Amino acid sequence: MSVASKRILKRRKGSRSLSDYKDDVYLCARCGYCRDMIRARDKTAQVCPIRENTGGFESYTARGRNIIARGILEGKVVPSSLSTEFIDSLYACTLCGSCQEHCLALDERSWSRFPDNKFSDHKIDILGINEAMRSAIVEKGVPPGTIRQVLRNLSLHGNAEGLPRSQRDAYAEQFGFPVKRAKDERCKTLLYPGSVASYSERSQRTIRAIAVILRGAETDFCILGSEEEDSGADALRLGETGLFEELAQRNIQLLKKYGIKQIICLSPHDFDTFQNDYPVFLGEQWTELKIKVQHYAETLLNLLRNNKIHPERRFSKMVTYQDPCYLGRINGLYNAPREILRRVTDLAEMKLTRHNSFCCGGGGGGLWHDPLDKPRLETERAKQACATGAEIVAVACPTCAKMLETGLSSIPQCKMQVMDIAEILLETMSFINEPASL
Amino acid sequence: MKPTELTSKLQGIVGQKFVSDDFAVRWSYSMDSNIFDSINPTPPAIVVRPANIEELQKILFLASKTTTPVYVRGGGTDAGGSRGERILESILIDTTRMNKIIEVDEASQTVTVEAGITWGKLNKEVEERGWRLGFKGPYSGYSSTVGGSISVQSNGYGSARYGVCAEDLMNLKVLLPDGQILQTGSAVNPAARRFYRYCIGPDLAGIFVGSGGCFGVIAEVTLRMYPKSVKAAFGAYGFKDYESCQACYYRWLKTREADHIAWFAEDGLEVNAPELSEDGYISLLTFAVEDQTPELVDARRRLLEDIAKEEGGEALDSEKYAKGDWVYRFELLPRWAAKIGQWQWNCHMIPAGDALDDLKDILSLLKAFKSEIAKYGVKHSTVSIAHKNAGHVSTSLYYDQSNPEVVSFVKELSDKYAERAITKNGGCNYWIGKMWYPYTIMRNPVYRETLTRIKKAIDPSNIMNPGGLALPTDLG
Ligand SMILES: Cc1cc2nc3c(=O)[nH]c(=O)nc-3n(C[C@H](O)[C@H](O)[C@H](O)COP(=O)(O)OP(=O)(O)OC[C@H]3O[C@@H](n4cnc5c(N)ncnc54)[C@H](O)[C@@H]3O)c2cc1C
Ligand code: SF4
Ligand code: SF4
Repeated sequence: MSVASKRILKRRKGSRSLSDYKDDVYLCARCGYCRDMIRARDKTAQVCPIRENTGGFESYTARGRNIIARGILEGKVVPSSLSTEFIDSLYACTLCGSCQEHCLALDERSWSRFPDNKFSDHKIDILGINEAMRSAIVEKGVPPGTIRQVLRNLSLHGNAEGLPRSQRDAYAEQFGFPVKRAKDERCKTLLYPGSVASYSERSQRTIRAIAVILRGAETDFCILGSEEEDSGADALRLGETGLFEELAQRNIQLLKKYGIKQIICLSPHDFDTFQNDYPVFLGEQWTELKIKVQHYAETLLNLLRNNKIHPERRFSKMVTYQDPCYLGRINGLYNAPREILRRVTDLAEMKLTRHNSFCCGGGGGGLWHDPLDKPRLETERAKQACATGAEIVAVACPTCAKMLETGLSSIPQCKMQVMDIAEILLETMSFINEPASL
Repeated sequence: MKPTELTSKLQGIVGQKFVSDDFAVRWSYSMDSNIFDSINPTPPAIVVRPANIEELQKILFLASKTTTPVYVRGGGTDAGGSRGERILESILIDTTRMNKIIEVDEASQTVTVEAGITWGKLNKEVEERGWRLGFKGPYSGYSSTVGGSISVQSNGYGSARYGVCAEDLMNLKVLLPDGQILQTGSAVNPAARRFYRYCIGPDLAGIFVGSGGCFGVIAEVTLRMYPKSVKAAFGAYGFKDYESCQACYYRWLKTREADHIAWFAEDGLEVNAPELSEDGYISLLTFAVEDQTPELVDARRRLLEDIAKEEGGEALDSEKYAKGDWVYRFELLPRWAAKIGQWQWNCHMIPAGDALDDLKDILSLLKAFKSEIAKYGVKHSTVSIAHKNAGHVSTSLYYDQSNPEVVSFVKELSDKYAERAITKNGGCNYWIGKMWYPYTIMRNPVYRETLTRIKKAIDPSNIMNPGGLALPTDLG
C-alpha cells in the first residue's frame, strides 16, 4: 500500500473515537488557513462554505472544532455540556473537505509534489475529527432531530428518507428493456444506484442513461433491485458507526452471494465508502472479495476511450460542471467527467472549481439537515453556475443534482438546467430513443 | 450588566446570527497560535462579529457604558501571547467580517481597507488593479489581518526593502474605547485624501502600532501602494563559514535592493535542507527581487549576485531554495510545522551588523540544551529575515504540543532564549506579548509609566484588553 493511500485510510480506520484522532488534533498549529484563504496563484477564493454563509464563528470551522476537540481531550470541555447550537453547527458542516484540502500540514514525504498535493497528503484528518465528534453526539443520543430521523430510516428502511424497500428499483421500469437482476442471473458487474438516486425521480433519468449506455456498449451488468442495501456512507458520515457496520455486513453478504466482482456506483459517496471505508472497517472480509469499485464517470470514459460507444453529434448547449466533493476533492477524480463532457460539448468552468470547488450543500447530512443559520449553499452554488452563462450544469452525483435543482428553482431569472454527464452523453448517441432495439 | 442582557443588546446591533455566548463557540476562541494560550486557554464571555464601522461603534458604546472589557481579534494568529488578564469577562470582537477594500486611490497611490481584511485578499485585490504592496504580509498572511498585524507590528514578505507593515501606513481610522472615531494622518483634514501620515500634528497612528488592542479598535487602514511588478528573480548561496555569510548578508541588506532576504543557519538546514548540511554548508542565504521592468530586476539581481560571489557564496539552485519561499509566500511555515507539531518562536530584531553574534549566541544556547532537546523530541530551525537595516532572528522550536512535559520544557527554553536575545545580545522584540514583557516593558519604569498614562487618557475605564501590554489591570 502506498504512503498516500495509507494516509487516506487512516481517517477510515475502524473507529470513530476522538482519542484516536489525538495526533491530528495536536498537529493543528492554529494557523487558520482552513477558514480563510484567498490565494491568487490557484484562484482559491474562500475555503469553508459554511463559515461564509452562517454566523461564521470559529466553531463552524476546522480550527475552532480542533480547539474544542482538544478541550474535550484535555477534559476542559465536557461533551455532555455541548449545546444544541454547537451540535447543530457540527452537522451544518457538509464534510466537503475544502478545509482539509487547504490545510498546509502536509505529509513531509509529499513535499516534492507541492503544490500539486493529493487530498491524502494532508496530515490532519479534519473530516475524521468531525465524524468522531458526531459519533460522540450520536452515542449520547443528541444529534439534531432531522439527523436522528435519517439514522432511524436508514436502520429500518435502508434509505434515509424512509421510503418503502419495494419501490427501490422502480427506476428499472423506465429503462425500456429488461435488466438483469443478480438474484435471477449470474453477473459480475453490478450497477449500484444507491439510496439517493434510487428514490429520486430526477436521478432515475441518470440511472436509465447509464444503463442504456452500458447496454449499448454490450457490457454485461445487473442490479440488485429491491434487495439492494444502503452502502452505509451516510450512517458513517453522520456518526452512527454501528449502523454503518451493520449495513456493510449486509452488503458483503449480498455481494458474496452473487459473486459480484465489480461495482459501478452512481453516488460518489457510495463510491468513496466502498473504496475507502470498507477495506478498513471490514479488513480481509472485504479485500478477499477482490471487488473493483468504480464511479460511473470512469466506466463511461473507459467505454469512450476503448471505442465501445460512439458519440455521433455534439451536444448543442453550453455546459458547466459541478465537481462532487467526494469524487473530485476527496478521491482526485477531476478529469474523467470533464473528458467525457469535452468530447461532446463546450465546457465553461465556474470560478470555484476542481480542488477549490464549492460544495452543493448536500454532503455530511446537508441533504436533510436544515441548520439554524440556514446556509443556502445550493442557491449560492447555483448562482455561481449561472454566472458562467452556460445553459446546463452537468453533475456526476445524485446529491448534487437534487441540491442544484433546488438552488436553481430559487433563481427564476436563471434558466439553467441540471443534467447528469451520462444524460448528456446519451443525447449524443443514436440509440437514445431506441433502447428496445438494442 | 448580566451577560444575557449584553448578548441581547449586541444581537440588537449586529443581528442574532452574529453574536454568541454559547460555551462551545466561546471555547473555539480560547486560543490563538501561541504557547501561552496552549497552556492557559481563555474563552471570552461573548463573541460578536460586526459587519461595519457603524456596528463596531455601537458595540464600543455599549461596552464603555457597561464597562465591559473588550478583546479584539483578527486572524487569531498572534504568536506572542498578547491577550490580557480579563478575557473571561470580555466581549471578543471578531473583525473578520470587516474585510472589504474601501478605496484604491490612484491619485495618492494608496489603498484603504477595513482592518479585518487578510493579507491574502489585499494582495490579490491590489494586484488585480495593477499595483502591489511593498510589505506583503507576515508568513501567516492568508489568515492574519491588516489590523492585527499593525497591532503587533508584523514583519515578513517585502520587509528587506519596505520594512514592517506600519512603515507603509499612511492613515488609521480607530474606534476609541468610548466609541468615538479617531482619524490619523492627512485624513484629519476632511478636505484631504488619505495620503500622508506625518502631518497635522504628532503622529497619533504610532500609538496604535504595536498596541495589542489596548487603546482602541483599528477599523480602517490606509497603506501605500507600488506599481505592479512584471518580473521576479531569485538567488540562493551556500556558505561553509559563518563570517563570509554575515558579510554577504550585511552587504545585501545595505543595498536595500532585495525585496526578501532569508538566512538559514545550520540547524535550519538540518531540518529544511539536510542535503546542504551533508554537503558541508552551514548557512544558506536567499534573495528575491521583483520590479516594474525586467531591466530593473536584472540590474538588482546582478548586484546581489556579485556581492555573494565576492563574499565566497556558492551559487545553489535558486528555483529549489529561493523561489518557493517567494512564489508560495504564506505557505512555508505551516508546512514546516507539520513535520513535528506546534511552533514556538522568539522572533526579535538585531542590527544588520550584529546578526552573526546574536545568531551564534542563540545556537550556543540551543547546544547547551542539546540533551533535553533530544529527550523531548524538539526540532529547531534558526532563520534570519532581513528588515532594511536589521535582521529578524528567530528560532522555530517545533514540538509535540500534546505532551505537557514537552510544552513546559519548550516554554522554559523559550523564556531563556528571549531573555538572552534581549538582555545580552541587544535584540528587540517587534511582536508584543507575554513572551517579551518581562525583559522589555516591565524593566523600563519610565516607558511603562508613560504607556500607563496614555492608556489612562485614552481608556480611563480600562476596557480595552485590560492587562495587555503588561499594564496594570487596575489603572488606579
Ligand atoms: C504560521 C504563522 C506565521 C507567522 N509569521 C509571522 C511573520 O512572518 N511575521 C510576523 O510578524 N508575525 C508572524 N506570525 C504572527 C502573527 O501571525 C502575525 O503577527 C499577525 O500579523 C497577527 O495578525 P492577526 O490578524 O492574526 O492578529 P490577532 O492574532 O487576531 O491579534 C493580534 C493582536 O492584535 C490585536 N488586534 C487584532 N485586530 C485588531 C484591530 N483591528 N484593532 C486593534 N487591535 C487588534 C489583538 O487584540 C491582539 O492583541 C505568524 C503566525 C503564524 C501562525
Ligand atoms: S487544521 Fe490545518 S489549516 Fe486549520 S488551523 Fe489547523 S493547521 Fe491550520
Ligand atoms: S468540511 Fe467543508 S463545510 Fe465542513 S468545515 Fe471543512 S470546509 Fe467547512
